[in-house]
Amino acid sequence: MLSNKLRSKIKLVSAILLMSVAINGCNSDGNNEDKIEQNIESNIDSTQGTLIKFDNTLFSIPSPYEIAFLVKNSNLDFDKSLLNPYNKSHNYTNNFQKALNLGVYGANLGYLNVFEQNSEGIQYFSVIKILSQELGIENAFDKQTITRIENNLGNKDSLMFIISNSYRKADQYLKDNNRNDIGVLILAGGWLESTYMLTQLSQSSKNKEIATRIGEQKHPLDNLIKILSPYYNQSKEYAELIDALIDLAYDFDGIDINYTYSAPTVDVKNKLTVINSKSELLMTDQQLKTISDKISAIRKKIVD
Amino acid sequence: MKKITTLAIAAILALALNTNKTIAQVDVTTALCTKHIISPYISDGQQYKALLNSEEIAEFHSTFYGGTTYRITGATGQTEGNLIFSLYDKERNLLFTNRDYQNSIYWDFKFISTIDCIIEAELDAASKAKSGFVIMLIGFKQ
Repeated sequence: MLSNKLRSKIKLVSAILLMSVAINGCNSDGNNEDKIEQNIESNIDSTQGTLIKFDNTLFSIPSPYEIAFLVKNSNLDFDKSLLNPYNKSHNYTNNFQKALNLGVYGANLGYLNVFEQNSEGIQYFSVIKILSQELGIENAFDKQTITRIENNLGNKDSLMFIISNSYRKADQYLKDNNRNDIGVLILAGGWLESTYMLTQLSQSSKNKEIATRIGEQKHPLDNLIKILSPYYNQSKEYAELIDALIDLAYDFDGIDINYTYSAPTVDVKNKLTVINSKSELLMTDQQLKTISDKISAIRKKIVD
Repeated sequence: MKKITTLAIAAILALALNTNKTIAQVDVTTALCTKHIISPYISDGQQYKALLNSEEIAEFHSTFYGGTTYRITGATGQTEGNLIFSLYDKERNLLFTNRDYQNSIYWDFKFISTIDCIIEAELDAASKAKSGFVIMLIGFKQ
């Protein structure tokens, strides 16, 4: 038999729940989410009206697959030594290591795909599947996706499309389920691995385009730090990673990027705008070497 | 006791249903975008989502590589055309706005040089939506 005190508590909780549902229902779109922390800043810009930033500043990290295409288009040979061996995956025992290396292996798989290294690709895909399961995001690589991948092993364009889409679904799932602390690590791992590959290729080939692409990671790195920073206090591992990236960012700060605006041109029929503005990157060999060494050190700590 | 239990269960079910409705609506919005990131475009592997009220603007900061063509797609609600998105460079020069093209759900951008950009997204006032989730996706051309 429940006490009167307990009955009152249950009634109060139920009333609160019903009220919150009623309030949600009043919203014209019915769109609400559980508690959202808001940092509201107001910027008054007389030329653009009032812009209120509602904690809705989001940052994007370039896809590792873009880097893979660049490498392929630079006429460089495939280099297996760049990859993180797939049989190291059993070394990764906690979610932090697994998520980072899910990103690392994703970048490796992109590299393998563009060079049509299908038999190795299968091994890396298997490891990605296992890590996804262990992280609870196996829906991104569901049975239908796996079948599509198996049916398209000989078609690198389709494979790339399917796999990158799977990573997007994983990103969506993690954000929707308040697991962005894992999502940002996958992005970090992918960015680090693809940038690491660029640094190694730059050293071996002295290819200027590759070196330029390394320098262009200046602002993506800033963005990566911004999306990781909310998790600084999550664990010592997060703090160490973020500190290492901040230290790296100081070296990128020394790189000058001269920007010149030019008006875009529009092809309305094809829904295409050509952005004619130009950027010129100024980076010394010493800066490139310092950045390359630091990226190697950070990457070593993640994959070993 | 029976009445209290029934009341509690009803409240919990109602809240769960409302949450599921929200998730379903976001799924519809996402589907509006994903149907435009198709071959030869490849997803950048991320989904950008923001909850906006009618006068708020979301900002997305991104770097676009020179020599690459990108597709940016964005939507809110359950139909196309309710979202306005605009592309600026870091000096706040307006490079593009879909407001000039009937709020087109997607647009392609070819970058001659690597540029850091800001994408702003806002609800179209004409849609009369007071708030809504905005979904944006970016793809690059193989």
